[in-house]
Amino acid sequence: MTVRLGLRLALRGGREAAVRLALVAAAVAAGVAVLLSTLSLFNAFQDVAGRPCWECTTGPAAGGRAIGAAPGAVLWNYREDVYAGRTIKRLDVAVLGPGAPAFPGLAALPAAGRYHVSPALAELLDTVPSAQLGDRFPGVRAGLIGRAALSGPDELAAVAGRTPQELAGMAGTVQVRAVSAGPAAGDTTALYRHGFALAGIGLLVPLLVLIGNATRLAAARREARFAAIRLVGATSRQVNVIAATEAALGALLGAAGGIVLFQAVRPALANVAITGERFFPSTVAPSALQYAAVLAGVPLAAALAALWSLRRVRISPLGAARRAPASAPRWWRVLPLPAGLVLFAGPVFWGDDLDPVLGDAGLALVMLGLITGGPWLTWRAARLVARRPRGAASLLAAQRLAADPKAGFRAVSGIVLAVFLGTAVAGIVPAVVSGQLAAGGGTLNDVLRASFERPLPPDASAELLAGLRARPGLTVLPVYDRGLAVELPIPPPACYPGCKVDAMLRDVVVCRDLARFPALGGCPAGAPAVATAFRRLLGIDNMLSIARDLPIVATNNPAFRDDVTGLGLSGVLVRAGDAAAREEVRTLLAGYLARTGSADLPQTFAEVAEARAVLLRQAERVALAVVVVTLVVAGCGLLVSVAGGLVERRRPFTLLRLSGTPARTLSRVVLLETAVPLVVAAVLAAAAGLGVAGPAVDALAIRNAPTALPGPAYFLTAGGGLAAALLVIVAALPLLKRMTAPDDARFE
Amino acid sequence: MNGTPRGQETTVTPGNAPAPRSTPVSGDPVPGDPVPGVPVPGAVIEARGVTRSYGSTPALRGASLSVAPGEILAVMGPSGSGKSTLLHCLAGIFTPDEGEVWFDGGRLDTLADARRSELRRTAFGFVFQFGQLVPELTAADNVALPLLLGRVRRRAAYERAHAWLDRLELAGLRERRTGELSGGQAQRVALARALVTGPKVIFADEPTGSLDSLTGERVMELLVGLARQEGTTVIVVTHDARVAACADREVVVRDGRVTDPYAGRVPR
Repeated sequence: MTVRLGLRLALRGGREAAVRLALVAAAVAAGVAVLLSTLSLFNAFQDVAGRPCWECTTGPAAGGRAIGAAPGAVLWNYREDVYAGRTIKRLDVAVLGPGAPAFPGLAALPAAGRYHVSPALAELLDTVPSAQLGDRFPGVRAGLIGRAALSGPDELAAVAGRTPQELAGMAGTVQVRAVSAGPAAGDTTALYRHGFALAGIGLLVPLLVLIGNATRLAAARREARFAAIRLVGATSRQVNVIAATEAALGALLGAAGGIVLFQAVRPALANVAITGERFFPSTVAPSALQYAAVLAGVPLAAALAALWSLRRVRISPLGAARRAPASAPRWWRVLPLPAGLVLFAGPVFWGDDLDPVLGDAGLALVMLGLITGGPWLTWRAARLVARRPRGAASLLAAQRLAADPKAGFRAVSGIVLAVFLGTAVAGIVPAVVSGQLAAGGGTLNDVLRASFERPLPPDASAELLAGLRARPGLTVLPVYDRGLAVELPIPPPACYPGCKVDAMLRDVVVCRDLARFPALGGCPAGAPAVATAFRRLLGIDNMLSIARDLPIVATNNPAFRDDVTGLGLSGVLVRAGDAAAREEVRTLLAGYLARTGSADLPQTFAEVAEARAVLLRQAERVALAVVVVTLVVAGCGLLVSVAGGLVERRRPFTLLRLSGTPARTLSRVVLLETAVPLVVAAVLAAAAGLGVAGPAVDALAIRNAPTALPGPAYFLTAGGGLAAALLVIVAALPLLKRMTAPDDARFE
Repeated sequence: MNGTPRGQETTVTPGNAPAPRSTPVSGDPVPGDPVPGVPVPGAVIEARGVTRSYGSTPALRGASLSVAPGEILAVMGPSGSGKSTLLHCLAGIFTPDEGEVWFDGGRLDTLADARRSELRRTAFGFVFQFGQLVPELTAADNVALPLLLGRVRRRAAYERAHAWLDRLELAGLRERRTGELSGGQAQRVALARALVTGPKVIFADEPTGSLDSLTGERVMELLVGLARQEGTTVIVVTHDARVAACADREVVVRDGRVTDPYAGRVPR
């Protein structure tokens, strides 16, 4: 019966109840739509991350005997091609006998002279001249590659059938018996998961604030109504049930509306290239369980929020009374913020690496400090304004904020986390990106590096070096493999903290060659050659790590004998300033790399840096997307809060207008009440964000990197979001004028 | 207590109202004072040495009062004298800081909140100056509300609510929300709601305070008339001498104590 009464009050309680219900439902719907959008993008991402990574398939290098019939085996040559800046995944296969391994997205691997392409590539092939693209795929187009093998609708991929003889002659061909079915093991997956987790935290707070604000709409009138119900004999429990029912109903309608809204935006969502590429539209969807969780969880959260909001209110039959007078927030509420910053930045300051556990704990504390410290700062700011008010508006706004800073800050708390997270990421990424390109003072950017899987035999090494040295304009640094059998002086000298000397110093460079690459370091005086740990320089794909390792050769590196004859190459560095010469070197190196089974492409350090920078920019895009959706949710919460505050104070505002206060002054009061905590909180959050970004950049030991400020996308997102928030308030002001019109004054 | 208006079965008129008891001035024990822990025989509701403060401001300083079944008592006094506080203590809305409140032979002030809520639902009725009706509900909903909260079946609750609204000449306003009613109509709805459960006591706090004199008189006429018909005790707090004139007896609250303005005189 009590539940029914709650439903009756919410559904058939007249115009005001209908407006309140509609506001709650609309606010919750917006929040739910954003939540479902985030969930669906995460699901799509998970779908891509979990797809079988056929590109990861490896096998032994194909020798001459591999050409013969071998049931269940194929020759496999995977590489990446480029068209107009877009990567094409290209697989050439030669089936060696019956029972060829299954390939995701294809019923069977194509026979020689036939090829399958992804739908996007098929479209491209149909639209561009064959001399530009189609001729790269000799044979007949036999069909399309299915979704199972693709990351998204825009992916360009081709699987071409070749004869065993053709493939055996191609560099990088391996023999495989099974296509890799596991997901790709890349650190970017963890990066994105972390990003989505942060998005989850970033969204959760404003969502809860939104639901909380929505359930608090017109709280004073609601409490008066509950008092009237208490007067006729309702128990506190019955009042709680009524309050929870009302809130849950609004949230349920909002959740259902949010699902409808989400369905409307879903097609557009599928076009969001959050990781740089679009997802398949069908994967951009929440699961049935997630729908159910939203439909059940949001009303439950609203009901709990309603009960929570009543916890400090004693509803007596004569009215509502606060259980305890709202005391001014104390200074210690801000303590988690500096504590978190110390926890996060302390280890870096004291010269250690960033501890992941301490770092996460520090981040959590910073976010907690922003939320708990916000009311105190709002109170301080309000007191400051109240001390020297510039007029009636600032006096009214400041005193109200000072009287209840928690409520004032609550409305903007969602925005604070968005600004914090956005600033932190936007502060780190540009520094890291510029640090990537600045490794070695930028002098390595035009240096190609090639690392052989196994040491290149001495004769082939000599041949390669002769070929390289014959070309004008190149500077070559051969890196020889000394082998573990060659003894080092005992005890081995230290290289740098943590490195294992005997395992690491496998390489040898000749000092006169090294001298042409000063960024890499210098030999001990008089040494003809040195043992080094050059392999790290050749294999690592993070320029920040490389920069940290520089100089790779120092005066304490052990000297090596002058004669390196008889040693094979473990890698080579070639500086080629001219782009054409660089491509020639790349082509030359490709054959030698394939001979050692290396699948790596020779890349310049600038290209290595750029590959990492692309990932980082993607992460930044994810972070800014999080900021955008968080700002949307927080903006909804702000709108609800402002509208609710207006409804709540209709009577005192009308009385002020009746006594001659201009509507403009009241508008300024409302604007100031929201703008003061908003600006204070945003500045604090941005400062905290930079406070986290700074140590993180330091922890990454980015050398030679110029100070990088957040990019324009950040200022556009965060600044635009804050401006939008202020616009939201301004948009609500005409409502204030109408609500407080003296002509409509009627209170009882 | 059934919910059917009882006027048909019982008629209680001012003439057969119980003889008023003289109320001693609080704090001055006299022979025959009630024994602590024992209800006064014949009193339906009683306050004994009740004190109640708002923070450091005392509102009641040992107020004592007993009211007989079917009696209509007017509580008068200047603003801030504590008369409303006394009413709220008698109704179990406030718990006294000290003293006892007895209802129907049992202690009221020591009851748990849920039990006091139940009493408000079943044994008490309230008519206040304003703010007592739920604006989101219709007149019929408001009248049926205490019955619905008491788990009376919906159909029965509305039948009884409609009967009372008809009796108070509000039949055409059943589906109106209370915000759409005039002050007098709203007070009649409140009266119907107060009577629908067949209460033993109706507490009225300035029931005509927001009404014009004619409407106020009509409301008081209905309140007193129906209370007499139903045999219901009425305790009405008022400033208005015309309202007090409708009562069988009046007491004055001054500085938190109850005094009988006619003490020592021949009862009216």
